[in-house]
Amino acid sequence: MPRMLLIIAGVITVLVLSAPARAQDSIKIGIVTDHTGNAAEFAKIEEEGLELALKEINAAGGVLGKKIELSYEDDEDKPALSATKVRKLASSGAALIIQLSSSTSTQQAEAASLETKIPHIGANQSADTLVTKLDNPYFFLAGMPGSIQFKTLLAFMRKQYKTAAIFTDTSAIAQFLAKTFREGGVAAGIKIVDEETIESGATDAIAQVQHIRNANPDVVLDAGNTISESAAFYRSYRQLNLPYPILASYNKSIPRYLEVVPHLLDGVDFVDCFDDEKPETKTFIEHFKADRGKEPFSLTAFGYNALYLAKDAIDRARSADREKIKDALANTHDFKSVIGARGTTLNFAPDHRAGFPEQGAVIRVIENNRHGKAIFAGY
Amino acid sequence: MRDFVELMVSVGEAGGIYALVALAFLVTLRPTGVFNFALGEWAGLGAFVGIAAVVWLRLPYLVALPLIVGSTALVGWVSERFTVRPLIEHDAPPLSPVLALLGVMTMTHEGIVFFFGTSNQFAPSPLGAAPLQLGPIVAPSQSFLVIGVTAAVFAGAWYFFERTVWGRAFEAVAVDRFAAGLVGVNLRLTSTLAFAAGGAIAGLAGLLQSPLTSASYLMGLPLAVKGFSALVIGGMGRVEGALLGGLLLALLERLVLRYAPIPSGYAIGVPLLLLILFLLVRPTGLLPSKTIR
Amino acid sequence: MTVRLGLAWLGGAALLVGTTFLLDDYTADLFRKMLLTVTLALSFNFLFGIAGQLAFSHVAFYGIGAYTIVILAYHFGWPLPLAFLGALAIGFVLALTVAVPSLRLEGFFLALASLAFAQIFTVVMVQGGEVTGAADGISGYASPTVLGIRFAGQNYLFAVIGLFLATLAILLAIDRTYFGRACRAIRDNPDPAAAMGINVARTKIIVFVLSSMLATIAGMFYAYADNYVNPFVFDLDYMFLLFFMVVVGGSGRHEGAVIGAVVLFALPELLGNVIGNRHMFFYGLFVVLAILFWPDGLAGIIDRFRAALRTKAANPAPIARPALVPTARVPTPPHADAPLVTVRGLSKRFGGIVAVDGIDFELYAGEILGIIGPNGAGKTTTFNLIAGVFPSAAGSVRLRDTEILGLSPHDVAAHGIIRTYQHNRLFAGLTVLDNVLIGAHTRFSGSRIGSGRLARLEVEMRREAFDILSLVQLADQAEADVRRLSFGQGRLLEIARALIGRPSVIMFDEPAAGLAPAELERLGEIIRWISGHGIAVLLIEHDMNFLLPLAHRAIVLNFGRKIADGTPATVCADPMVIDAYLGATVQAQGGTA
Repeated sequence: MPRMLLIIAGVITVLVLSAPARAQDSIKIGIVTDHTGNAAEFAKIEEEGLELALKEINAAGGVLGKKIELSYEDDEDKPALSATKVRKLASSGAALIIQLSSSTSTQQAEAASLETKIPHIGANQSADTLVTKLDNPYFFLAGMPGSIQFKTLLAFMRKQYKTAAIFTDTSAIAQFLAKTFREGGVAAGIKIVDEETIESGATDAIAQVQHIRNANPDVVLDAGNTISESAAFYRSYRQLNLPYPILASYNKSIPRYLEVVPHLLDGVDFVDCFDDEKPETKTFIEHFKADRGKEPFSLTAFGYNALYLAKDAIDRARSADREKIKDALANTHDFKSVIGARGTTLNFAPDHRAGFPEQGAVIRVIENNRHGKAIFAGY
Repeated sequence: MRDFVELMVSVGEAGGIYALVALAFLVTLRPTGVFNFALGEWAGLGAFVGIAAVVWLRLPYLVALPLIVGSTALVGWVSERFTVRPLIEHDAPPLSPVLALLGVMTMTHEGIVFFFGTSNQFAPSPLGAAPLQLGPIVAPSQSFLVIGVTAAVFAGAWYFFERTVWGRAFEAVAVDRFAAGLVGVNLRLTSTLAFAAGGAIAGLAGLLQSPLTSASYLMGLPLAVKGFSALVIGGMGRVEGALLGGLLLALLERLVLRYAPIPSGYAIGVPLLLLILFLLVRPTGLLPSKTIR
Repeated sequence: MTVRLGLAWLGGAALLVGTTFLLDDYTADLFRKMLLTVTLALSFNFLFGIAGQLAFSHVAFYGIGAYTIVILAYHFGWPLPLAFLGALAIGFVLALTVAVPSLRLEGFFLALASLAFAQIFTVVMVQGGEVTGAADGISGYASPTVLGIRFAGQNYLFAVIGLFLATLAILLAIDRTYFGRACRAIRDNPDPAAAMGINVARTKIIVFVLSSMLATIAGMFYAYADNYVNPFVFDLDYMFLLFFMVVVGGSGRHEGAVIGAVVLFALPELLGNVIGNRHMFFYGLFVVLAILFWPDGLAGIIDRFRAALRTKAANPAPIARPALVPTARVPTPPHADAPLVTVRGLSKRFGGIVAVDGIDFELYAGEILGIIGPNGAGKTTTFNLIAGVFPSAAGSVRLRDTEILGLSPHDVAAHGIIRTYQHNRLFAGLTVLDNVLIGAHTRFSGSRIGSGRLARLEVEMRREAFDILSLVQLADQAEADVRRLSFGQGRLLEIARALIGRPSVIMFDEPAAGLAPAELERLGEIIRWISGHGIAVLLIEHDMNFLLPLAHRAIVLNFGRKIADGTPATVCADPMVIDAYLGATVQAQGGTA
């Protein structure tokens, strides 16, 4: 039975020996992504944006005179594994890490980036808590925080609505968004008259929608995230023909919802980070369409943005040294990005590590089962 | 009043799906004594094969339906033939087939992801997207379809178990396997049919569910939990138990969500508590089995 | 524990600790998460593989440990040792809350209820608001410092190694005790386990609570792996993975749990790019294959490999038979003073059927009493009534002055009445010797001695078990797999198992059935030997050639009533008995059987 200990020691030795080698003649950037779990279909879109950015950057000479090499690690959207993958990338010589998986995985991965002191960019996550829960100077959020989403929603609706109902599901980001909407609403003097949750696997949300009808709000705030449950909500909402306008988080910028319940989201106003009238964004749309033959949207832009953000920081750091990159990231000013409303730029500071512009969120409408133009921006 | 009617349609729709999954569990459990955890994933499989048949291959529904139900029945047949039967015939401990089916459950799940990916897929409703009106009730066509199909399947199942020789044979095997074998019931065929039928019914349940919320690679486990909760509550001994359990579970969920003064986040725990309560206090469920031991 | 074994352990532990210095951040992280999983697999294996309880609540307790220690230490500011104890207490209470009601659940019912519990845990954590951090979880707390040592980095790794070794040590220690044996007996065959004096309910509760608490402790360590707890780590996917690890590795053995956990944990890391993270498909497949073809899992395969590579060690030579003294009683002739067992008005109905209708008889120490009668006469029911199988019955069964009717089977055994079974009911997962030792359970549990003396008692009992095996000529099979015994050998093993409990009464249920003539002779010798040592023997038998020369006395039952009571010769000549067996025809013919 002591041979059990031998087995364990043996396996570890094998793992040590099979650790990936370090490349010397390129700048390695680690990508923590999900190819297996709940975030997989979203991460895939971000990777498309990432890859276009990679192509463009390397074609233009790369960074610091070297090509960028992306090293993908699949964290299966498992928080504990995500932290391990960050350490793996750090141990194998990555200059920095871009994370595409969910907020929960990113939160746990932060423990690893803090420990290994590697710059860590969250490309698309919405959780403000990523920069508040842990004092990690190495982590930078490039996603559109829920607080900014709500501020813009609030500005858009404040003139009109006094009471609101919130709809959410049991996933982490939906719960976070619901909390942001609730607390933000209360702080702004809007009365939250109802909050409904749908469980995963539910076949419909009739009871919850009836409850909302009973509460008779001025507006419904959609904090939902998971696709099946959002579909259930919208079907029930339209079935009971509720008249209240719906305002949604940036999740609804993802086309999959429209595919799964076509035309049921028509008329919904949602927050987005993607303003297709912004010059940088326009160029990006053209290039992406030329490269891939399809339209990009928020997620694609997040992926594209993250790599350019990284390049910008490495350029200013003039080095592949992690500390220098982190300092450069923490002093990013006026970064012209494909995300954010026209006229806005990304800005980071050592005590302000969520760089998405405060005024950078736009409101768009879903019309005829498509995402319409931006009709409002900032607050 | 309007609330009530809307809620009842919702109960019929959700309850129908839960009841079908419960029936699938019942049909495999009774003659074989084996609890088949894989049924949830087989329901998911039914949904996705449905997408492949109707959306990708554009087959008409009437052609697609036997194909879909047949495919999940086939999975049931294969599982029984190669995992359950060898274990039962070699006198393996009674829990072994249940454990092996956990492996089959995972294999099915991974198979679905391998072929269909992790993205949710839109499943069109056979009767169209527009709501239907039946008498005073207006509801989505899919709701009526689910209720109708459930009623038909249960009527058929009841008839099978109560009025046909084969159904009596199934019951006999459930009561006393050894004796049933002695009087000439083909035990192997019964087991095979039980698993195939369970697979078919589960596949049908998944197929009916997918137009409601989309086909999702995650739909299997919640369906399985609802299904066996419904069966435990309604009664594991008879077909009516599955139906009653499904409807009751759906009713209770909705009543709590609609009227109970607790946040809906907590309402989610109520069916789970109910399941535990029944398991502890009345595991035979509400409707007792008709056989006397 | 021999010195050599101790050194081997020390060496292994040193090696383990030594490898930690090779590790970079990544492999260190992998190592400690792997060890945490291995530890969890070990405790789950104890619950499922060793005690046979399929429960899906294990990972929920892992989560309970992680959450409670963080909440107590971080939210409420308790010093770490206190938080540790507090979390332990909460884990204990919750485990008890789940275990006690779950007693009545078997097989997949327990699986369902525990699965529901695990899901409720997730719901509560997600809805827990500020206290649990809700869906986001709790983050940003510091690694704990105890006695000036900060448990981060290398220190934390040592702590996890310590956790693993401690868990393993606890489980190995349990293995060496009668309690560990009892767990396996319950897994293999709960009814005879109870009949040998094992309190099945209490054992199951202890097992569940113990394994859940081991999971809780592991969870407390996990909380500091990345200093972040959230509800989604402790989900059913992880639970099923644990289950797969134990089955593929070889359930029921600690090596199996370790091997399974290490392989299934490391495989995706090693082969990630080759099989592309669809490893779960293969794990599901491995589980099916393991259950079908290799129930002993990878550990079993490795064992068979190693056994094929070396010759079998010679079996220890059977020790020459010393005189056995199973009881301190002086052999008493039959019909000494008062009866040992008095049965009065024993009755039992099953619905409308009266199986046993007012039976009276006595049984004396050192006497062999046969119970005979046609099929359906109520012999087995009478037997089972005395053995405690049926909780409700009318009448009285007294062992000396104690009323034992209505006692549960393990209490009946504790009072010194042991039974055997008509179709051998042995414990398939234990060796022959261990099967015998199950019979000694009441001698362990009944004695109130400390652990040091318990170890000595274990050694003594092993010796005694070996001696008894010699008596029934099975000593050379002592370490053999029970499944390899012939039917007759299994019968003898049951008798050995009954004897070691030092019973006052042994009840045999058709012991002659299925035996060859030579075996029958041996059986008769043994039964005579038993009664000669003052043990009362009650025996249901159909084989008259076997019974009549053997029994001192016999009672005859028919339709639930006693119709005759006397010496075998008397009873056989009784016209009522002949009538009962053969019917009126023979009577009319005026002949005897």
